[in-house]
Amino acid sequence: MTPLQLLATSFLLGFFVLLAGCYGVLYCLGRLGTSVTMLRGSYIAYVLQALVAVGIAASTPLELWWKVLVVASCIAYLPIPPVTWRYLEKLHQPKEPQP
Amino acid sequence: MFIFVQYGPATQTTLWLINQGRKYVEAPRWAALGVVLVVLVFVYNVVATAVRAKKVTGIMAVLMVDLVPLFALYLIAFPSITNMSEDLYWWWWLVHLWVEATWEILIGCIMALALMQLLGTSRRIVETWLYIEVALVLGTGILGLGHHYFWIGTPSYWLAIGGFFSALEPLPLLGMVVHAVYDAGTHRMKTTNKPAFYWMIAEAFGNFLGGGLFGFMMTLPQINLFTHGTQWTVSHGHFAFWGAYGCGVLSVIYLALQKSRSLQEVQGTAWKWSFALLNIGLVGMVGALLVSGIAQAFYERAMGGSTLQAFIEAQRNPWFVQGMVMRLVFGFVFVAGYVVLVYDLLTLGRQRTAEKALTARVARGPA
Repeated sequence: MTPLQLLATSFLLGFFVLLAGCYGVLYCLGRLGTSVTMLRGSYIAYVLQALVAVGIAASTPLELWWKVLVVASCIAYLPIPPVTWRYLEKLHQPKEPQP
Repeated sequence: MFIFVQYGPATQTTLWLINQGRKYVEAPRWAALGVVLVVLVFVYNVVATAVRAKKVTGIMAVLMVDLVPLFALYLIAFPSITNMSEDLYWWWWLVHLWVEATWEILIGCIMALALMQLLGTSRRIVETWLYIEVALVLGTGILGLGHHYFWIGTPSYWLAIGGFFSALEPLPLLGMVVHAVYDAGTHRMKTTNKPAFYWMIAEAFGNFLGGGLFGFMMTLPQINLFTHGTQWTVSHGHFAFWGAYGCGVLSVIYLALQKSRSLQEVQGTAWKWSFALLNIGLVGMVGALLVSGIAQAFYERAMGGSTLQAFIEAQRNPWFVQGMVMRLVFGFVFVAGYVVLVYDLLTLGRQRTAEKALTARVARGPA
């Protein structure tokens, strides 16, 4: 790994997680205010995250195993905000009284 | 603990009175015994509370189970192991499994109790969430230990184990961010204790950015080969620790003050200043350390091949030097925030109590 490749790979990994955070926060803000723009923004953030994952897989000198892991974790990030959100909503619903 | 410095060869007296030599647990043995005592008192308090109440809730059960490894792991601070690989192997059990397992569970329990107080969330909800958090944190955190085993003489399979579980660690942190935004949004940031609430939200974000973002930048073995032990690691460690624990502890302190001073609502402007200054100072410091660390990894490790000459040249590199200067500048911002925080904690609610007493005295008229 050359010095420049080191920096580029590290920054791409950082952007990968940062975009995951943007996806999560924008998704929540969109659901809270029922804002379509925010929800669209969250999906754009996720698409960008996926592009960064592809960039990591295609252009960095990481071993194949780590590239597969990054792409697989990118897929794993996709359901986290909606599933967590749905679960939180369900959890906060008042329990129906037992008959 | 750094007041006393010894020149010359170390003896048993050094271990007892000066320091025990290992990073993070370097406290001299008498002070380390003090730590053991404090933890035991804490364990006694928790268990005795449960016994007196004749009831063990889900949160208390998790807390009591967690306190066993929390206590036992600290005992690794005491033996003097002469084989360095072996010593580091066990030492990381203490450091990593405290920080990314037992303390995470401890702060999870404390936050669960805090959520009940702060937002009136039902016990059923916080306990369900706590169990999920425990599973996720332990599932990724325990074997995330492997990222400390990359370069200490352990077998090479730790590269795969450490890298894999470390890469998974940001996933539950994203779930926590979603939860924080959900809580903040559904309550529209309205609560009787805004400082505690803001620090709780800051905890989720700080944990994600410091642990998840800064950690993932440098955790895969091929990157870590160059970044290990530089200021880059320092920036990650400080940011993650601040997010995971610093913010959480401050949140709980504000909650405790509200209870102990019987305040209906925690108000004022000082906490806003301390919140802003502490967070700006901290982010500035870790950002500056990141710049210095990148300069070290780039010039000293990747370009210079980790020679002594490369180390010295990297220490003189303008990027490194300016990063360290900026760290100092933002350190002053942090100190200013800390001073305001201490002022706020000391005076919170007291002024209003004094005003109330004065009003009551005026209403009673002259004696």
